Amino acid sequence: MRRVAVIGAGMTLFRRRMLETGRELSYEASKMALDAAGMTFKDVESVVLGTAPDMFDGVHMKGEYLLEGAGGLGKPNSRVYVGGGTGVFTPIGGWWHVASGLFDSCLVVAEEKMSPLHPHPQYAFWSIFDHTTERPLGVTLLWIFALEMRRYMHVHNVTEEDIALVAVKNKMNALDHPCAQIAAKITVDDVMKSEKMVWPVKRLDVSPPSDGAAAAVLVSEEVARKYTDDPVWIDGVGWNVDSQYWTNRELCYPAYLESAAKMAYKMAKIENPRKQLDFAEVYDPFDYKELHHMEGLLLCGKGEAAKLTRDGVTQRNGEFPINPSGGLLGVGNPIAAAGMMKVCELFWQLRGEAGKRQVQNAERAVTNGWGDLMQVGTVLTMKR
Amino acid sequence: MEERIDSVEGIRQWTGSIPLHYEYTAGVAGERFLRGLAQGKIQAGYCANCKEASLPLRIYCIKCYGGVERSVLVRSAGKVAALTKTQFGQGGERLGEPVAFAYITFEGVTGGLVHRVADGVRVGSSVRPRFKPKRKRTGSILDIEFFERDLRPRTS
Ligand SMILES: [Zn+2]
Repeated sequence: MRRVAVIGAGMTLFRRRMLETGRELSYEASKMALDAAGMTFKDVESVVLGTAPDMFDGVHMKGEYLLEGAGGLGKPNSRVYVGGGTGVFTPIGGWWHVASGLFDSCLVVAEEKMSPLHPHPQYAFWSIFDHTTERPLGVTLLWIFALEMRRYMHVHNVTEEDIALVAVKNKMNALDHPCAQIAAKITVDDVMKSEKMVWPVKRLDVSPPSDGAAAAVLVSEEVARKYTDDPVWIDGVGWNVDSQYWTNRELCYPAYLESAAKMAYKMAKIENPRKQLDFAEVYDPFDYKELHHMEGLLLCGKGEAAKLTRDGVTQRNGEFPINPSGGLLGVGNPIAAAGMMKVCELFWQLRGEAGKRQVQNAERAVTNGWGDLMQVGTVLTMKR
Repeated sequence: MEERIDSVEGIRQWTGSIPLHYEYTAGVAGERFLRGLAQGKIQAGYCANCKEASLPLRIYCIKCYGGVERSVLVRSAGKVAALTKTQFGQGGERLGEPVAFAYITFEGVTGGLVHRVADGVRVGSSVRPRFKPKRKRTGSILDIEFFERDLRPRTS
């Protein structure tokens, strides 16, 4: 396999509603990534698009629909999709293209426009539950996330306040992100007093629906050297999907994520992730998921993430920053684009281009995506 | 037998629906295009780099992928490149009156538009848009009622 470099990244604003169509969002993010790389659309050999179900944008064949805005006309292109794991799976798809030697360059673009959908994107998920045992009960994703959060709290003796610290940190970090949708200075008390949605999940524990797109330019080593002295390398990729029968797993630990992480770490020759990595962008559509994913990514032991958070270890200036971008909780959650935003953040951080969000001396980092029916883990490691 | 299951009453079945409704933005280019229609104008995007006008209006050029900021009025008559007539609607329902649709191109513009056409239009016909009265326009492609034969004398 060949080495794969990232030489440019770009993203649009994340907002509850953007005037731009999905195609236009894709174009803006792609153009920004290519401009950053010093490339044009013509220089790109292949395109990989990532985007959630067609039902979100309300456009059937969304890959084909977005293609034009991502400059993919007349080029080999494909669309990948693994629920909320898509954003990190999209650059993994791009990595295949270049690592395999089939292409010297691949533009990866992830987009979501959730605002057209009414009454709420959650309705699109009704159909994913088992129609024999679950669907007649009116189960929603929020219910099962609440069960997962509660199970995690119970097994590890973690409190709602511990978990709220994640929302406080991420929304604060996002104040330094120029694209952020819901950056704010809030307190644990604000989270605790926010509306109970499905206990213990409260309004401020959850990321919002968003519109947005994010993109990156992946190239072979040879091409990277032509464009930059400062490439960032994708040195590990991993992915893993468990059963859609979410009742068949221990909810307090994402074993599928551990498998995906081990795959990526093996490739990147990382034996001790906490020591060898400098920070992480972990998937945080809910605040408890940050803790869950820190453990699944083997950044700490099972049940230890809450303590690290309390001790300030995960702050941007802490010993091991988690979500210096502000994460989905602060920047926003246009599903596929949100995961891709994290990949962009790794790139900007490792290049020293993260501005006010800059983590000092960052050389290696990991990010993950999570989704489908609480069943997929997608992992990517990068180094400078 | 064509059917594998010959009695649906004898088996358990479930019904479901996904209750979704969409309210789309027209987008940056779409907004401009539709506002133009409300004023009785068809606008094409103009790429200053390729020196080319194209439909539909986009914020980017699909030739050079530069940004497209300018739009130009499509003043030329349309030409019918292909024509069809149907008596069925979108859901397969029978329409009272058959409807004629055409793919229409415009001189000096890449791409084109599909729209309803009036009686008497043939492939190769020169056509022009018949807009609704101004007060009835809403900023929609339907602000053009249909294209009809352009009987103005050729000026070139
Ligand atoms: Zn052009």
